[in-house]
Amino acid sequence: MKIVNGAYRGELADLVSLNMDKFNATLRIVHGPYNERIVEHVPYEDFSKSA
Amino acid sequence: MAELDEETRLRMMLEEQIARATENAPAEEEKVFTEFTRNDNEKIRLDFSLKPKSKNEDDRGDEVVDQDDNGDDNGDDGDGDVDAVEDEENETDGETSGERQSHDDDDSPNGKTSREPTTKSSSSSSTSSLSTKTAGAPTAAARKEEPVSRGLLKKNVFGNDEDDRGDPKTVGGSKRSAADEGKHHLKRIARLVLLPNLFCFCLPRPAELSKDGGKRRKTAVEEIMEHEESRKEQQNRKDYWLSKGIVVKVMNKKLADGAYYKMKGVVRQVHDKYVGEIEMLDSGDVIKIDQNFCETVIPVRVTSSLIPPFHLPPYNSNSMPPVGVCRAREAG
Repeated sequence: MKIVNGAYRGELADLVSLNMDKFNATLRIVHGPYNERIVEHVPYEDFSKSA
Repeated sequence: MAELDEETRLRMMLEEQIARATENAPAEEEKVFTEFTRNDNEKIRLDFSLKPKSKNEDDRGDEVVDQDDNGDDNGDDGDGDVDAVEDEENETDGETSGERQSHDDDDSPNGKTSREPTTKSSSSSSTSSLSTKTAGAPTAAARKEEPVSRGLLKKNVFGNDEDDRGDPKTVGGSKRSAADEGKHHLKRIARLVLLPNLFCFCLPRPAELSKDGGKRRKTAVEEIMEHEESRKEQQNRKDYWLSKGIVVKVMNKKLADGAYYKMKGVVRQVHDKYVGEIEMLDSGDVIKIDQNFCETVIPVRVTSSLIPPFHLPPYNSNSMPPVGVCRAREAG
């Protein structure tokens, strides 16, 4: 996954869980200075699958 | 020690006064008076027998203030030393001092409301025997006790006499003096009783302190993190989001008559921040489209379960599986 907008724009992350009701997800950053940081409530528009 | 005694006494007096004031309004006035006298007489006896000096000192201080400058409380405590000598003379013979005090009491209201002496004297003289009796006793008591009580008593006395009610001057004078005395009284109480208590209130309790400290530290960290996050959010939040290498879904129905509608593609290039060059996954076509017609792709299942770690230790960006594997899995 790649975070494409917001505070952690450009970071690579893993998808931890999806919150379908609120259209957001919890991500775990897996690279860079914020490695292993869990980011909650990331809206769908702000991250996408990386090829 | 003497101060402490005075403090406690003041508290007691205050409580008594409050109780009396609360009782006063609804109760019958005669009964109230008798109660006053009784209580006050007891007080006087007590004072003479036990600790007359500090009491008289206090009263003297008040008296001096009242006579000299009606309303300035500078000499309230400062004159105590000088007055104490005179008081000792008074204490030598109890009865005479009592008489003197009663005389003083008769004088002091005049001094208080001295600005209209004729009306005052006429009121005291014109009152019936009962009223004079009550007036003498309670004023003495009031002298013993507090200026406010004196004011209250005077009011009650005037209230009893229907004749004096007609005269607005006396009533006004008594009220005003009562107010002044109230001020004195409040100041003294504030100095003696309330201030130490206030300091007590200012000091934080240990339990609260520890609780607050723990909470504060926690919130401080949280605040810093939130602040940082919001700062980063402000910095990094842009209105363009297409970036190279992500998978997007095309949501334009008009392009090629909707041939690419809801089709996925990988962004190969980004032009002018908003326009992406997308290579479709299934057909391999490359289209150029604005980000408004694109949507991010979110896997329904969690990423780690999507790609089982059979070829590599746990999936992360440092050890990304080869692209071919991902492609194959997506295609499958």
